Amino acid sequence: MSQYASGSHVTPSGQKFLLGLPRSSEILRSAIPRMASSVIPASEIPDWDHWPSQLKVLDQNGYNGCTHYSSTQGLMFARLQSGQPHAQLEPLYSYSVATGGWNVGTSILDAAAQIAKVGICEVGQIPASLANPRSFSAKAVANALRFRFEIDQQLNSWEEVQSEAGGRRRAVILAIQVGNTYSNLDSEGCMGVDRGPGNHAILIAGGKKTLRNGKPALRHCGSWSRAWGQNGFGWYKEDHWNATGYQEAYTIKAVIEDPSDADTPPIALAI
Amino acid sequence: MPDPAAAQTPAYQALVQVEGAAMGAGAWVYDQVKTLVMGIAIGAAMFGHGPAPTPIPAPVPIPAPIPGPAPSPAPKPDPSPAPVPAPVKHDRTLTLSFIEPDDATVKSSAIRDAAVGTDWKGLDCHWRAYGASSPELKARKMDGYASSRAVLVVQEAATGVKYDAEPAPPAPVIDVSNPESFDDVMAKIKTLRGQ
Repeated sequence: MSQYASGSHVTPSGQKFLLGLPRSSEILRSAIPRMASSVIPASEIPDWDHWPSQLKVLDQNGYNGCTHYSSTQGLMFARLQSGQPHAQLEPLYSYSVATGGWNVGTSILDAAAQIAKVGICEVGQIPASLANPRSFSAKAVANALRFRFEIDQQLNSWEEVQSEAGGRRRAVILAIQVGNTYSNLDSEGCMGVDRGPGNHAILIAGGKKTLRNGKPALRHCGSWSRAWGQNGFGWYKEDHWNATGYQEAYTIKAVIEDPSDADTPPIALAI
Repeated sequence: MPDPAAAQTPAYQALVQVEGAAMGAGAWVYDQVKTLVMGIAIGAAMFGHGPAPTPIPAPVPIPAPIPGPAPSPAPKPDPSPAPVPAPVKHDRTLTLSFIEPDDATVKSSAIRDAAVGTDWKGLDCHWRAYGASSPELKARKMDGYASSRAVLVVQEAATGVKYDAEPAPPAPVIDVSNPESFDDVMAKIKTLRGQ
């Protein structure tokens, strides 16, 4: 059992997922700059909805690696946004490296640090299961180094999350409290709001809409398969941010270019 | 002394010559002729219209050769609209780098998002979006193009270069602009393609 697991969540369809998200250490948090960009006012952010068709909903399949699954999806999203070709990546690679092959969960920044350092390999490079990372082939290790990102800034308010994910259309990874009502989506696709500390890491990306009450909501791509929510998706709103006991949110902005990709752009020669 | 004005006239000059020619002629004849000629000279001085003797043509200096007139221009054609220079056609692979300031705007973010899913291969183009502080931008030697506005930098592959070679050979920048929308980006490609 995970040293971090604080329980489990059973979806209406009967799926059971371990929960347990340790808070990122203050040392790691202090290394991530606070958001320096200006906050785009909500009134200037139009509704939009564009989830890239290449990106499939992931499935943690019982693993307590929500941070790695949400980060992997975030990396794939950010790669497409940067213009890089799609690559289907294997979250269990970085999760295995981070935990030594144990299903013990990691904090968001632990996962981010691993992904920035060792990357995430493509699907098929390793068996689709947690494993001792020493068993990974040199080819898989080299492959993973091609797919990395950098966490750019931490977000500390709903307005900042809305500005980055809604206004600037970037991938945001954040902590949310998952309780008994979480999987009961309302008629507008919003998850139930449970009060408590963040115990699950999710990806916010791909859209912003205005709810009937006039308030905004941001698209959330889950990692509990298409059987959860609306074909794997839900909508995140300010109430979720406010109900989470401690907030932890980060933007993925910079994606490392894949040096062995034939699509790598050339060096610029001045006019 | 004769009247100075009269002394300047051709008639007075003729008188001087006649006076010399009459040396030896009879004094009466001389006086008559002298009187007649002086009258003519004075009249010419007073009225300026006296019959002047036919001037002896002075040697005319030979003028320096005057440059001949420039060859006459070819007949101008009928006025018609000036021909519009054909746009430069860039038909090789284009790399489009979209550089947003760190304070990306809603508009620039929409451009970046619209690029996702575009058939760039079909357009023989490659697309990249960078933040101004992205380390990748510096690696491509394009950090100097970052500004407070979103910038589109277009490079064209060199002649004869197979784009997919690894690593991609350096390519010259052929255009820099500030698109306001994704439509502007597509219009730019068409312009560069000469379409």
